[in-house]
Amino acid sequence: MRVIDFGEASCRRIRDYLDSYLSGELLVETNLEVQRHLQSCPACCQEFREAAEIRRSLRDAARREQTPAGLQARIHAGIRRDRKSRRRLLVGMSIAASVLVAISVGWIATIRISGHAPHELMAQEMYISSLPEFVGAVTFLGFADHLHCGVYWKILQHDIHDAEILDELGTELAPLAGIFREELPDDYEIRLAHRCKYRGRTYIHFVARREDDKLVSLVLTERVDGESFRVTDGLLPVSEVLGAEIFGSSIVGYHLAGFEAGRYVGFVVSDLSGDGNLALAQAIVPEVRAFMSGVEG
Amino acid sequence: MLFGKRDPYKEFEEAALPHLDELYRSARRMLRDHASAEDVVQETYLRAWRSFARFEKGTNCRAWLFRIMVNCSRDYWKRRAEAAPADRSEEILDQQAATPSMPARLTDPGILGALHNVPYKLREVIVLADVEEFTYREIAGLLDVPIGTVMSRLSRGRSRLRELLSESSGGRSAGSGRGTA
Repeated sequence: MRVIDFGEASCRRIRDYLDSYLSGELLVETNLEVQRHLQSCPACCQEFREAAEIRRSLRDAARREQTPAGLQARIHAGIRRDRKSRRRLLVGMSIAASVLVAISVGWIATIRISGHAPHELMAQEMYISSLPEFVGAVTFLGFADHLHCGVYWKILQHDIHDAEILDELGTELAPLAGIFREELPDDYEIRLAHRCKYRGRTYIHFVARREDDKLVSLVLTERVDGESFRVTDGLLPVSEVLGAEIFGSSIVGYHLAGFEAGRYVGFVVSDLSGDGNLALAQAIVPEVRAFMSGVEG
Repeated sequence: MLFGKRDPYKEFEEAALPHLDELYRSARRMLRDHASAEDVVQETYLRAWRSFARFEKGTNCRAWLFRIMVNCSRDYWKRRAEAAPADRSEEILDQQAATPSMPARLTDPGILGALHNVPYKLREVIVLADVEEFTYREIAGLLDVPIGTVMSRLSRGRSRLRELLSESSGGRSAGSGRGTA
């Protein structure tokens, strides 16, 4: 080693860099400066060697740690217990809901479920059945599922947990909840996220609720026989965002913004104002379309 | 089939379980003992599973798990600190000593024992940087602190570790041969 006396200030400066040098975090020029200094300064070189030796010894010693044999099994068991207890909770809630519905049908002819709904189950179904007189066949799908699951099925009193969303929808579709949540007004919370069958169609359905029972749904279902808002329902788009056409419709108390996403058709339905519902759809639709283009059929 | 459903737990296992050894060894160093590390790692996996829906596939699963583990460990350490008398090692945060002499030979028990006496916040950064080799930027993200704070804690932590090694050996050799902590 060719020894050069750099002076105390220079050595102090280099020693300040040693931590970052050890971690490989210096810029190329500074790195070269430290290397050159270490090549010619025995004191700093010794300092560096010791620091490097401590680091290496620590890393090797810590990495020799053996994971306890039963830990992986205990992790599995803990998650299994958690899943079971959540399922039991959901089943309990479903049974309670069924009992309530039975009592409702038998004894109480009219239950006020929300400010906009017809009052009894039969009447609710009759109301939904009457909608095709007023709206197109594709548009009907969005209104029908929103009314059936969101407005009439009163299960929206608890916060829905991410694990429940995952269990319901699987990892492929669960991220839709995040997209929906991201664009919702702050005072709405997702209270339902499920796949459901209604009147022969399968839907993916999210419902968000506000304190005052106002509801917003995001509904998706697969298109059948090339159905579309333009051809099947004879609608023209009311808006276009990033190449996505949005179609509008309303019935008493509810507004719908429909869109097509490849093999799927989607709806944002709510009791917001027409403009409010459209604005929400304009935010959600491009994200949902982009997401659905990556979903396998 | 429309909206075909994959088993989410299987996906979780495939993504998260390969990191078990790293999470355990780091928790073990941060919390000092086996039982606490096991508790924290179990809690980490439970929390990770519950929020797996939010985990973006294709992003850094290891960093995501470490972030959860770091938070669990801190909660655990805080609860333990509240239940136990004050740990004096936590008070020595800003002490800057002259470079101490290093033991002639470093052993596993010697260096791990010294690490355990480094204050928690400094020890945490040393483990993440020197054992797990996360970058400063990654550590800043894991701990929710600026990069400057990471650098400062790492520097103080390494200095303190060196002091402790020197103290434990009286400036001479800390022993010979390798063993386990």
